[in-house]
Amino acid sequence: MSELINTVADKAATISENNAVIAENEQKVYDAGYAKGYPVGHAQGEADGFAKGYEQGELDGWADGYSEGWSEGSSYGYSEGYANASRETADNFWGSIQDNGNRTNYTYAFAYWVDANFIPAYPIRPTSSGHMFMGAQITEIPDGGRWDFSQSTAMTYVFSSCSIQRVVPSISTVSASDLSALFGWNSAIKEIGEIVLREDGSQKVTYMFDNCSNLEVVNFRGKFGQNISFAQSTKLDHNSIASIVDALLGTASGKTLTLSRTAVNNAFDGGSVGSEWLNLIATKSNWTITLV
Amino acid sequence: MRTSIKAKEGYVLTNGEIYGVEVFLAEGVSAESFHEITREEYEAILKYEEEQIRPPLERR
Repeated sequence: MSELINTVADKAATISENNAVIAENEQKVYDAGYAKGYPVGHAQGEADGFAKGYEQGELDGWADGYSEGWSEGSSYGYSEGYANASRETADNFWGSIQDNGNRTNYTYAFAYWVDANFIPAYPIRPTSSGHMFMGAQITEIPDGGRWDFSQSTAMTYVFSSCSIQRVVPSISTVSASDLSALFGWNSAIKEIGEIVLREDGSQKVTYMFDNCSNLEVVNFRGKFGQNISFAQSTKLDHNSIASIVDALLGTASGKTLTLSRTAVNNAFDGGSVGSEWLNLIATKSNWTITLV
Repeated sequence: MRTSIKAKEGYVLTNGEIYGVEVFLAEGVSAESFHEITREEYEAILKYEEEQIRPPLERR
């Protein structure tokens, strides 16, 4: 019996040793297979993953690029199309108003114009411009080399009773004999770049600046030869008053310049009794100068 | 130095054509030709003259 037990024990030990060997061999086989399979599997996985990612990336990139391109092109095309259409519309409009640049009679042309903006497409060279901006709500006559009044023979009430605050370009009045109310009752006007008068002082200037209560700056070339009044222009500055006095015709007789006493007192050191003012008007002793 | 004349406070000087509270006379213009009117009278004259010359703001 004990011999049998010993034999069974021996056999069990052998089986156990064999199992250990088997396990060890199995591990070796596994390791060998893993070592071989991993790189192959990895390479394949990488290839497949790349292909899949590339394909998806291509799809996404196309979608994004398309959207952005469409949006950009749409926006750009719209802007350019709109601008072209606007230009064409504006050209058609001003072409009609200004007879494609050939218009010369501007009498009442922009009277009661309701838009503050005013940018004509063609130069304005009137031969007649009476009441041209009367009652208009335009706020500025800008420069830009588009204005030439030198041929206008009618210039009464051109800038009368309107909202124009600044007239930038030089306004030549030399062809007009009558400048009555040129800026009359324009209580908005603040600055007038330059008015060119005739040198002989022969122009009628009645009410030329009547009620220009906000006028601050004005310059003149040429001469006044008739009674001229700036009675309501209480804000005229020093240089403007000097320009007005300088524009008084030296050979006129019995003529009167009327100014605002407030303007003179504010513009000159010592006001109307100061030497600066008295020296200025001493140069035009042939004119009565009255302050109201 | 030219002759100048001044109106009393609240008055305006005139010779019928020229109006002012302070008048610097041209050579040959006499101060005696001027008299005083009230400020209100002066402004009434201005208003009347404006009504005669200023065109109504009506659309044509």
